[in-house]
Amino acid sequence: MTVGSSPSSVPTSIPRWARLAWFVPGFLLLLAVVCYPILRTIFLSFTHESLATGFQPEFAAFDNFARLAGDSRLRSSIGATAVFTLVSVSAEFLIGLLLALAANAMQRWRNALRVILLVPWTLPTAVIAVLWTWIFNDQFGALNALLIRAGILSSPVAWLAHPGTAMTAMIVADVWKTTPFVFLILVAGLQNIPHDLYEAIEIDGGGAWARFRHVTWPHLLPFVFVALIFRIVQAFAIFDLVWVMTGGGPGGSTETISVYTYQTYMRYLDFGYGASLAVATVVILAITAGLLYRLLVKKYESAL
Amino acid sequence: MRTLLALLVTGVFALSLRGPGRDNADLSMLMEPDGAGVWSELIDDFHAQYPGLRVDLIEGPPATNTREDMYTTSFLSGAAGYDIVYCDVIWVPKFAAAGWLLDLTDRLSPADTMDFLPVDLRAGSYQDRLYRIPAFTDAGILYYRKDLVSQPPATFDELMRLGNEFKSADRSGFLWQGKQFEGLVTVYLEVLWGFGGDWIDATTHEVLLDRPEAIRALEFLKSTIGTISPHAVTTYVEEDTRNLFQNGRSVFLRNWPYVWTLLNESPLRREDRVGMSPVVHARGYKSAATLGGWGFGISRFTGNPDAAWQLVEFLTRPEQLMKVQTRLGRIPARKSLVPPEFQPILESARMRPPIPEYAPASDILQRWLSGALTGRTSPEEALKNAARETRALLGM
Amino acid sequence: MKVLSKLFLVVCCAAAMAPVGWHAISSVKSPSEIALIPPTLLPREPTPVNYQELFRRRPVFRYYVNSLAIATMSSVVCVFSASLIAYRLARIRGRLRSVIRAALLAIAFFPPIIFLFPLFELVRHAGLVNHPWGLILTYAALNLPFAIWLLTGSFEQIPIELEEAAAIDGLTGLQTYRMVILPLAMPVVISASILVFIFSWNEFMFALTFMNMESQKTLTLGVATLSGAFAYEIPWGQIAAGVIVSAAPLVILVILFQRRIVAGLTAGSVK
Repeated sequence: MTVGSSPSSVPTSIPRWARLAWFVPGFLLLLAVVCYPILRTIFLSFTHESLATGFQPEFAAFDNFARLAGDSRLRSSIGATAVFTLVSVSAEFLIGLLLALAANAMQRWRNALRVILLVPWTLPTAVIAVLWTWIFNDQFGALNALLIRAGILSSPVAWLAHPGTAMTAMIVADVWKTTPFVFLILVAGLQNIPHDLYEAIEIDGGGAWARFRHVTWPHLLPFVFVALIFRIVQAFAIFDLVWVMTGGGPGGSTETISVYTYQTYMRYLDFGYGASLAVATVVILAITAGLLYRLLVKKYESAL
Repeated sequence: MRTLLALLVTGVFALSLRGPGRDNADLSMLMEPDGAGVWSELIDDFHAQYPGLRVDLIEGPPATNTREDMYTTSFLSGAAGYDIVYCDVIWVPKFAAAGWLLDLTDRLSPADTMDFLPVDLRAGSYQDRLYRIPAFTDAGILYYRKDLVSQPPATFDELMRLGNEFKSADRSGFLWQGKQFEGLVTVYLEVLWGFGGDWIDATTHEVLLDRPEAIRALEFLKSTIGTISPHAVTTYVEEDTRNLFQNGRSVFLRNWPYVWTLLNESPLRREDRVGMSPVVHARGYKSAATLGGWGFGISRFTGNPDAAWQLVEFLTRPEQLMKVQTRLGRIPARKSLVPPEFQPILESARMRPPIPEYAPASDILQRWLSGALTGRTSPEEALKNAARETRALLGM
Repeated sequence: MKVLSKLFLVVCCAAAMAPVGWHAISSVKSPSEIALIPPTLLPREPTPVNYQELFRRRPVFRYYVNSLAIATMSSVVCVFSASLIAYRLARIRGRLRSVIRAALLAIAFFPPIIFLFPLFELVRHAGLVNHPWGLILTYAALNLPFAIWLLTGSFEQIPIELEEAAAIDGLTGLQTYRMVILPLAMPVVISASILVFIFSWNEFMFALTFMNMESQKTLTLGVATLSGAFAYEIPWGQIAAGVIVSAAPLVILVILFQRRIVAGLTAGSVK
């Protein structure tokens, strides 16, 4: 077999085009829905195209990016996105990890457990937003009713009316939905760990913490890494939850960067600037991902 | 099993081919929520008078921003989504500049041109062409307790003095809408104009937010918080302030004309303890109320422009406008129908900047005003930043 | 320790079920009972009035049909295209393969907002605004990287000898794919189909932008925009009914296919 040729059942006498044909439907889709929009967005970010220009593109060089630099609303939306991502992902991982450790020991109820815990993840984020908006409602919401009945609160809290609590409410809703995903990934990781490694620690006299630190955690790292990457990217791009639950309020405090970009496109009709915001979003995400990669991968290089 | 699956998928495929239909209505209109049912009645009247036409009245959400976005998305997609636009005064420049509204200048009869309030016709125009036929007009009003204050204040100083004098433990001096939304802009503009300042020059697009008058105006508003106005005023919208005033919890209220009709239900009005006057201003300047109001435009993408015009013309007739006036308390934009007590106030009504970029400009101003009023920044800092961002927005 | 972890599990399960359970119970309470402060736990007299009002106010049945059509076709188109690519990708070695895999991964990490506006322009030019196929093609493409990734992993597991045997038997590539590979990879194909179905059913942002006619909206979009629609008192009973109406099909999916769903989600991480 020559180097580089594909060891497959398709004989090499078949013309090139037939071999490439397999890729055509998928690549056509990707070209139209992914590649072209990315290129067009980049193009638009270098133009002024808005209501003011009669929806015609005018070359703007770096004007939009200069405007980005002085945009206080962009800064606050990056802040809101960062807070949301950081707190939400941390909470999911903590709870997800504890859940995975607890569930791993159980054999009997595994199926029922999976169904129950999977339901929140399967529901649409937009509907989850509606669900939690009612629970957090100040007058009619179940949360206030519960807390007042339990004596923790004396009067209702208007969760969605104040910046701090509104963000908290959003994070609770997000953690509720996405912890099951982290849980599932980590459980899969835990099931991968050979038992004799645990036994070795026990023989050496180590307790639960030693087992965790020397066996469980190192083996879980690749799984943590995979789940972390997915979750950070998704949390960063969050739109549905914000749009339906708070609309970016109160006072723009929960407005994430996707929401600001959407408003710029669809409400302000400033397509050039909206495109530059979209480009900025991707750049920031790429930088964050790069930094995380350097930080985590370097640190845990041996384990991975 | 395989064939069953294949059949199911084919069936679903057939379902997926169904595109948007017209639902056999000739005209569709996106309205505000019709709790009182008056709009449905008007449409029924229209059907009776024009039996060949069917109108689909779609009740939209109460939030005006949301309806604006629904119209915008519909227009952007180029499809004939909604034929008639129930149009807020601040949407006209945006929709007209985008070319989404039909030019109605030549359709309006001379008689109607004389009867509609001039400022409302101007507000419905963009670059001297008419795109929106006015239905209702609105302007900011100062309501006051006649039984406490014999002579309503004319200046900011008088308002402060009287507010402080007559406030008590369960009665504020002055209530206004301080939440971060469009209403806050309308309140601020009245104070700003009262100080002789302005926001954006309509013709030159010059931004005037960092001038001393603008800063003084914001400082005045800020100074009311904690003195004649409660701290919670920064969370109030119109209904919150109306409810409080109606329950006797304030000496002065700045709100819109609809309150006057609703006050009929309260002892305050029946016992003649409430009066209304133009909004206050600084000494040496004039009172200026922010103009509001709604009207009807026609989508450029409509398939039935003449039928659409018939509906618009019908809905803006005096008989129809009076029906809404009686049931909802709105003030028709026709000289012949404006109650005399409102006339002086409506005459001093001023338009917000009729620029296509109104939505983002207003959002910028709202954010910074709210920041200053809640103490996050100083009024001067806030307005400097607002001016800078607005200039960047307008490409100045 | 064991007791503690069991307790923790119980608490988490309760937390997972309680919110939906609360909406289910509340959706059969009468509007006057829902407005009670403090709220009652169980309904005094269960009534279907919230569901009736909901179905009267909004074309919920149409929402269901739209979502079903869109999610199913997205899944079919996506998994079909993805499996064709995955079949070839599984057999390619060397740098080309790493490049393609990296590119697909990169695509999956773009925040969807970057695709939104140009796609809206495209859909508009194609006359597909308010048409199910505007969303179907969008969802099929956006889920393609994930589906390819999932299927490639599975196709790789199939021994090459099987394909070689088929070639000796005179089967073409397409026939080998259909009669040998697919049946063996069926579990993963099912997983991918279900997951793409769920992702398409749940999507909101593109549905919000491409569908502005009530009769064309998806169920997720219709229910999510429900709560902004009321002027005075928000009828929370109807909102609860809306939540249950959109949750029900997905809960059924989970109960029926939880093994496949979990397998699909965890496939990539278990190398």
